[in-house]
Amino acid sequence: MNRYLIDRICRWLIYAVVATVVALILLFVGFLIAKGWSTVNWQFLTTASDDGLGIRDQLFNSLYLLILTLILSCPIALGSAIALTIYGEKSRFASVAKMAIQALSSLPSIIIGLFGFLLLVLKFKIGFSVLSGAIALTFFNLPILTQSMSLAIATVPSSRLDAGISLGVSQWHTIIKVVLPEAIPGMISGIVLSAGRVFGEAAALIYTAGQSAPKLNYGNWNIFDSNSFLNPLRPAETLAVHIWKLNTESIGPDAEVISQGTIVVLILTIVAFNFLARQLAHHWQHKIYR
Amino acid sequence: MTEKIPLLTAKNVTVSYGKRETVHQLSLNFPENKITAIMGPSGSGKSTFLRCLNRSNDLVPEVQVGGEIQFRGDNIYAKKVNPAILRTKIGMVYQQPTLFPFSIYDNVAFSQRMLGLHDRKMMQEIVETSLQQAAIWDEVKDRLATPAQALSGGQQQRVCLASVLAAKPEIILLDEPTSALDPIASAKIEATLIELKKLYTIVIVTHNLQQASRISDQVAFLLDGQLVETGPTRPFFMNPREQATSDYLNGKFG
Repeated sequence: MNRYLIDRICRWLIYAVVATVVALILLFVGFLIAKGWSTVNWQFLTTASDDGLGIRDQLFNSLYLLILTLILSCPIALGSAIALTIYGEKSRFASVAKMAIQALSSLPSIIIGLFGFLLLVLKFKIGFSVLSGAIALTFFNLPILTQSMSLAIATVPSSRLDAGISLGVSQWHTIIKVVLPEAIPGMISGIVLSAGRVFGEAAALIYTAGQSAPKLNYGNWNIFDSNSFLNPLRPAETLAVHIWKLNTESIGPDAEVISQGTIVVLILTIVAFNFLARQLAHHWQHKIYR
Repeated sequence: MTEKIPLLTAKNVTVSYGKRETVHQLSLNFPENKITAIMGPSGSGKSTFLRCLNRSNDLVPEVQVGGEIQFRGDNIYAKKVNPAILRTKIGMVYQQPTLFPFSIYDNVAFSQRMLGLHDRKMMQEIVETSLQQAAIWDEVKDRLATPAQALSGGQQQRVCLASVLAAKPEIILLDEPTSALDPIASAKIEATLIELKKLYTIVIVTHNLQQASRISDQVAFLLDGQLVETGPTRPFFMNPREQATSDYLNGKFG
C-alpha cells in the first residue's frame, strides 16, 4: 500500500469516529427531548409541583442557587487565578496550589454534597437550605472556574506586564486596566460553561439544598419569611434533584411524565448557556479590538 | 567646589538568578545627554544589566541584585524607593514592540492617565509632543483613534518610544530596539535617538556594531557578565585596548 492511500484511509477513519460521537450525542439528546417535549408547556413552567405537574419553584430554585453560587465563586476564582498566573507564576506555593485545584476538580460531587451536609447543615446548623446548597456548589465550582480563569489570563501576552512596567505603571494597575479586560472573553465563556455544570448538578445538592420545594410566594420580598422566594434559609429542590427524586422515590402516576419534561427543560437551559457563552465572548472580543 | 552628582551610575553591580551569577562586579557611569551603547555577544548579561537600571528585573522571581545603582546620587534599590515611580523617570523600550490593544492615542496617553492626568487639553498636548519627539507624528496624526497594533513593526516601535516619552522620563533604556526591524526602520529610530539625546540620557543595548558606532558617544563591552572595556566611541572602535574587544570587533566570536 502506498503512503498516499494510508493517509486517505486514516483521514476517513477519523471522520468516522467523529461522526459516531456526534451521532450518539444527537441520538441521546434527541431521544430525551422527543420523550418529554409534549409535557413542556407554559403551564408546566409556571405552576408549583404541589398543585399538579408544574416545576415552577424547582426552575426558580435552580436559577437562584446558580446566581448565589456565581456571586460566591467568581471573586474567589478570579483572585486565585490572578495569584496563580501573574504573581506566583513560578513559586512553589503556586505549583502546590495548582495540583490541589486539579485534584479537587475531579472530586466526585456526592462527596462535596456529603461534606456540605456534615459541615454546613449539621455542624453550622444552617439546615437544608439555599445557602448550604450555594456554598456546596461553590466548593464544586471553584476548581474548574479557577482553572478556566487562569487559562483566560494566561492567554494575554506577558509582554503587557512589561509594557506597563516600562511606562512606570504599577503591576496592579496594569492588571486591572490591561490584562483583565483582555482576558474577559475567555473568563465569560469559563463562567457560563461552569454555570451549565452548576445548573445541572444534583449529587452535591441532595443533602445540602434539600429535596423539598415548599410552595413559594413570588410577591413576598421579606427574605425572612419561610415562603418568600428570596429566603436563603429555606430548603430548595432544584430541577436536577427533582429528576433524581421523581425517579427514586415518587410513586405518583405522573412521575415519569414530569421527570421527562423536567429533563427537557434542564437540557435546553444548558444548551442555551453554551450558546450564550459563545455569543458573549464573541461580543466582547469585538468590543476590545473593534 | 563640590563635584556634580552624576545622573546615573552603577557601582560593583552583580546580578544572580538563583545561584547562578550572570553579571559580576560591573561599574559604569552614564553621562548626561549622551548615548551609551552596551555591546556584547548573546548571553553576556547586557540585557540583564540594563533591566537592573530601572528595576524591571524586580518582577522576575529569584533575581538578586548586589552592589549599588545610583540615580541622582540615591540608591534605586533603597527601601523607600517606589519602583513604579522610578520607572516613570527611567523608561524602557524592549526588543519587541510592547503596545496595548488600544488606539494609538490611548497607548501614548496610558502612563499619564494612570498617574492621574484627566485634563483633555493637556493630555492632547503631551500625546502630540511625545509622538513628535518619537518622529512618528506625521505618519499617525490622522489616525490616532485606530488600533496601535495595526501599525508596521517600525512604527509600533516608535509609538512605544512615544509612550515612554509621555511618562516624562529623564533616562531612556532601549533593549535591542531595532533588532526586529528592517534597515530603513532602524535608520529612522537611530536618527530619532540622536535627536532625543539633547533632552534625555540614553542607554541602548545592541549587538549591531555599526549601530553602536553610528549613534553612541560611549561604549561598554561586556563578555560573560564582565565589563571588558569602556570608553568614548571613536577610540573604542579605532583602537581598542583589550585583545577580547578587538577580536569581537573583528568578528572572531559573538
